[in-house]
Amino acid sequence: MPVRLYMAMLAKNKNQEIIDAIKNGHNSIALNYLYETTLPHIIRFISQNNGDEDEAKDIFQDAVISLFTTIKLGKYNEEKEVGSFLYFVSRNLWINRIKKRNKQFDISKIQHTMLEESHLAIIITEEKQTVIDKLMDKAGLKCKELLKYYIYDNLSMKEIASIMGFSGETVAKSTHYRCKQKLVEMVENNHDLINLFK
Amino acid sequence: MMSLDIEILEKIGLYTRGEMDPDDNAAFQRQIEADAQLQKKLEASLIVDQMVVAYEAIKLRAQMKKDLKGPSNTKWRIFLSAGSAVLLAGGALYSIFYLEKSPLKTATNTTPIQEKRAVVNKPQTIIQAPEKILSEPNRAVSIVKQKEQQAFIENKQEITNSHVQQGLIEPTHQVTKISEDQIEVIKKPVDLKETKSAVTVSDNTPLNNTEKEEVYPAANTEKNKEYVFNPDYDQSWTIPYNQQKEPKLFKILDKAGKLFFQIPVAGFHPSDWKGESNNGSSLGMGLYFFNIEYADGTLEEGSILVTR
Repeated sequence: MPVRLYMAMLAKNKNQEIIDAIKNGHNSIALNYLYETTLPHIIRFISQNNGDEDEAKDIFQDAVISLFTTIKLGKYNEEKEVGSFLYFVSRNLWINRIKKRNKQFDISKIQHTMLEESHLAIIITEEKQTVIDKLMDKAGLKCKELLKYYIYDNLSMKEIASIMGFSGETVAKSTHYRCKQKLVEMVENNHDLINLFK
Repeated sequence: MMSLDIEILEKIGLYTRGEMDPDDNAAFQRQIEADAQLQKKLEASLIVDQMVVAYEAIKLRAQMKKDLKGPSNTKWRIFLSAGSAVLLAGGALYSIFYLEKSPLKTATNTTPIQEKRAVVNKPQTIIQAPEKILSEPNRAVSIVKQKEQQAFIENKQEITNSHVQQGLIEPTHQVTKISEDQIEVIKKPVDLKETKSAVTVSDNTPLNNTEKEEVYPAANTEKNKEYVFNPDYDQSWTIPYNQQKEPKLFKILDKAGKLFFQIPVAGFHPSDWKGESNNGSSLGMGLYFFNIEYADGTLEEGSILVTR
């Protein structure tokens, strides 16, 4: 097998390994890999474009949250490299931040980098985060826990029933839908929120 | 009304998770296209999913802040450097005064976990010792007490007659200076794996005490692994089995060697550890050790820093 093909195969396997680690909740494995491989590129990019290391770390964290959210929601194109996704998101987040900070700043001065075709990234802005915190708190502790198990951790109703001490799968299921219904109603009645998430 | 909504939500759930059979899926899709209310419900349901996932993902920020914290600007670097220098100086003074009262230790009396330092064999003279000492290699090691010698090495001081007067060097032995470029400090144990550390003199006579010499096999030096595990953020920690071997037993112990968790392993299962102990309680923060015993009788060890 040619060396280049072999290296590409190894890189692809590593990429899939990191995506699987995120899906399965092995966050430290994924984070440590991203700190080593991607963070230095983002620090370099931001340092070369009017920012410093602390700001780069901040942007990197937002990009990682976007990566985890996108993967967990099943919207991530697994053919794409996670490093390239993070770089793409970080670059866009950084442009938005300096645009807000300095409206006179000429964006064309930002170092031009070849990007892959558009990634479908779910960005959690500060505004979104505030709304999310508020609504999730209204849902109550039990609902938050149950929804986390089902939607974020992807556990089955049987597993949830066992963890949360429900008498059976059916109870877990009906409780889940009641919780979800509560949140769906809150969202339906809040047009600003719908626009924010569109 | 509520039960109808729940029924719709259940259908939406199956639809968005791709768990509907193809016929039902096609029919539901047509229903969505024809029903504006249903479209809104679907949209709201997707937003809720996004909110739940984002709410959990945001919690990663605390973990990342902790992982990435550290001084990045020059001011903090200066403070850190100054602090390190003070600590180093304190450590050197402590070792000089404290170890004067300690029994004499030989250069070979080391353990694999302790930080090891060695004067690396250089082609040129490191220590000029009288012929009497060269003929007695075991005694020669005790020319300078080990810890004091380390302090000299750390500080890269020149050994002078004043050290003889202070009693740091035995007066019967004449020692010339050790210059900076002749000293190399090996800080990481990994640098010493599968090697012997020894002080040598100009004629390459080894000075280490062969009777007390400990050679650490690769099994103990290569496989000491360190991990960090935060059960609040990670569902579980992947046990780092050697895939070339057949693991038989996995153990978690505390610093004092007390057994917290033990489980037989078969076919690399369990593959994960969720931070629990054998009696079901979760472990507190701190440093723990793990052992993996293999069918071939070998043992792998490492540490896990449990954080919350």
